Amino acid sequence: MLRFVLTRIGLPLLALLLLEGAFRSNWWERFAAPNSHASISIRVKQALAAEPRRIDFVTLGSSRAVYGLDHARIAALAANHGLVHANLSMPGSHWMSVIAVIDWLRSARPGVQGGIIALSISDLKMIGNGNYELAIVRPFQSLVSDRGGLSQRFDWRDPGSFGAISALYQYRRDLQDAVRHPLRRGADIGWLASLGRHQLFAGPKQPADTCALPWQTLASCSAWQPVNADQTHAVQVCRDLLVGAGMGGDWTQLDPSALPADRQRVLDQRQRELRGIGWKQPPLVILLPVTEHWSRELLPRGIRAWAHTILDPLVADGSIRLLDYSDFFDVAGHTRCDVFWDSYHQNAKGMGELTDALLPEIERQLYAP
Amino acid sequence: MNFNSWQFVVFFLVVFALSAPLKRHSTAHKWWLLAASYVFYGSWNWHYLGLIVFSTVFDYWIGRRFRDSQRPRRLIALSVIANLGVLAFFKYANFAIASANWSLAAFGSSVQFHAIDVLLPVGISFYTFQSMSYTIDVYRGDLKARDSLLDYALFVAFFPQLVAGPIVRAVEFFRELDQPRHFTQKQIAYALILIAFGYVKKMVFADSLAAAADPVWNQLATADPWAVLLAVYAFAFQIYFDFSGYTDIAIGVAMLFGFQFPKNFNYPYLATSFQEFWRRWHMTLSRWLRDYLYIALGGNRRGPGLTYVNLMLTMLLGGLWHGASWNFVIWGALHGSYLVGERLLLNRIPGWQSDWLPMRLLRWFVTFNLICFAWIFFRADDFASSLLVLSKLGTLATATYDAQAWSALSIALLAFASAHWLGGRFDIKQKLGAAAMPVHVAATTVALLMLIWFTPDYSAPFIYFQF
Repeated sequence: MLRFVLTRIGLPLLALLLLEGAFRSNWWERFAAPNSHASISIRVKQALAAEPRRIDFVTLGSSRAVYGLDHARIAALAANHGLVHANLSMPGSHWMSVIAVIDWLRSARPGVQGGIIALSISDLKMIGNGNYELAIVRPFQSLVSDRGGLSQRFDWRDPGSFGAISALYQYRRDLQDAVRHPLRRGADIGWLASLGRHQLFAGPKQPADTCALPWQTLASCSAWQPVNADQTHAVQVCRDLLVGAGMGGDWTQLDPSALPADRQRVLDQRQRELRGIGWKQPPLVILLPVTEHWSRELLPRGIRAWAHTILDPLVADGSIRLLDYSDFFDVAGHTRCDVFWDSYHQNAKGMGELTDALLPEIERQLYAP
Repeated sequence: MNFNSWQFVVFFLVVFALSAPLKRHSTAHKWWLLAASYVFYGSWNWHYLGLIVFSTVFDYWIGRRFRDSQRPRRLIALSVIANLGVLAFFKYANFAIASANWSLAAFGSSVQFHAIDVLLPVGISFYTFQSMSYTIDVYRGDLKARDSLLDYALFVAFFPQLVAGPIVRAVEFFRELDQPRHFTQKQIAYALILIAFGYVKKMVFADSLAAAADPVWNQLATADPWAVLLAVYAFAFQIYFDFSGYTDIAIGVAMLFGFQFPKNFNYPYLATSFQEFWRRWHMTLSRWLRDYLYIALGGNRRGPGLTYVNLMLTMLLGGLWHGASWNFVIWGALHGSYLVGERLLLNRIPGWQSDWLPMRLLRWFVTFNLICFAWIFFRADDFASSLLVLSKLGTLATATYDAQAWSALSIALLAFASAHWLGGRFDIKQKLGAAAMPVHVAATTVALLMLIWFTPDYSAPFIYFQF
């Protein structure tokens, strides 16, 4: 009887373990939905696999980095020095995925000697950035790896976090999409294999700006009736963000010697991760510009000083180099509307101006230190 | 401790593992199951353990007193009044107060009663009915009063069916209890399939439907009419998968402890008449209402007129049993009128009960859609929301159907309806339970994968836990 019970319960569990192994080996990558978070990472991996040259420098970061930096000009500048600088920034990517990619590059691209980590002060607010980032990290894991501190995200009360310990869970959304749209998926996979290739030495540019909108506050922006697709997008972003307006709190009185436990954890983990990167050159951390929607309405007051509480000691001990451009586009306390296309992202003009300012620093600090 | 929680999985594994060595020691095994049941119930709110213990001891005492009582009618009246009194206090007192306040205000009175600050004990409707059935059976002479308080306490509190059924009759439970606790391989295989199916029904099907439909139910004022129509059908399947999923788990878990419980669902949406629906839906409640209410009222023994009255009264009270709200009364009244209307009108139409396929399909169509119509009152938060749903459905003819937005839910509903039909047609659970080892293992593996891959992030509580 015992054998019977063990067989009937044990064999299904064994089958699950085998499948978990298959998914941990990233067997599912070829079937990942083109618009999924996992697919963003897969495209970066595919682009790197197709690039025969040695990669010397990389740019890592979120969608702010995707649209905030002119990756073609950075690559061209590196090429002038006989170096190859690849753009690996991915929408949705934050600290966990940045650290996981750096860890993965050690074996996948051992020639990488340094690079840019382009995030913003908002990324230093909390330890994590939502369960969706688990899917971005998955393709950079191996059968047994725990890159980016993935397993630390596991919370048994939150099924969305089970992807932190199980690859089967991480591809949940892909599989649901496969069942919902089996026919469309075939075409999408073909598209993924060709058109959706990640550009290592360029990036997208957005021409639109927000000057036609009442841009000063999230409330005024949200109330606007858009008249074209660009405005519709920008207003929708305002509306999505409006629910969090005024809830940032006040961090101006933080005592570094007696921090609340959650902030102490953020400080410890970020400093530990940045000190442990292990590149030949210290990473160049760039705090990208944020709009006043973030600095005034969404983020805690004092967040910028908090970011420096984390990063300045690392600068002092030589673990990182730091460029803080958080208020680069602010004039008289307000963000310029002509350089952003929504509350997060710069347009082509903003990208150009920021890159103009950054290129000499990048050249001095990375290519000709 | 919900069935779909990690706490329950761990609790069950511990109880099951330690129950196996106790099987040969009947009394120790009963004590163990009773202790586990009280822990299960106490994990929700240990204060209310006293209530279930009171209900147990009181009805056990009444049962014993029947033996030498000269006035058994007084005893049974005492039992019914005590049980219904407890139920009335905890479940219906605030409903009565709110209704009284509304009536007073309607007549211009400024007198208002204060609501009672009391929490509804989980499962009270189920274990009260179960306990009452024991005293009624003993009173009727259908069952000998139980000597052992331990046995009786386990009957009332046995954790797999404590909070949401199936409502087991005392005679059935004690028959199982008096048999040696043994398991056959066939039973275990079937129990595992039931549990796996139960979890998939609840966590994949019911919760996915809830994730799609709940936003519509919560925003009725702004929802478009076609979305409301789909939400009504979605709820019909959600409540079936939710409740029958719970029941499958309950029956499967009980089976692993050596208890065979009666079926509670038999593919109810395949019914082609309302009478058949109630023979397929929540079968143990239907049976309880028939045996202890409908027949007690006289059933169909006093002519057609009183039969209809009895049917109506039974369904009204059945509706009210579900919850303290006028919406449940309306739901019960609708089903009562369906049953009466079926006997009075439909069955008199020539050819209506024909076995000709188009007629069977027509009967199914009428039955299914009227049942879904009644679900509107069951699901809506209040009467005003029910009216809002009806007003939205009234504008369907002029509303535009957003095919892109609602095609996924429409397809899902068709898929669920097909699965329901296939399950009923081929009795898949039974077949898989008796299947060869590779098929059984494959089925269990597929069920586990479905739980991992297709469980939505949104998890709704078991609907019948609130009753």
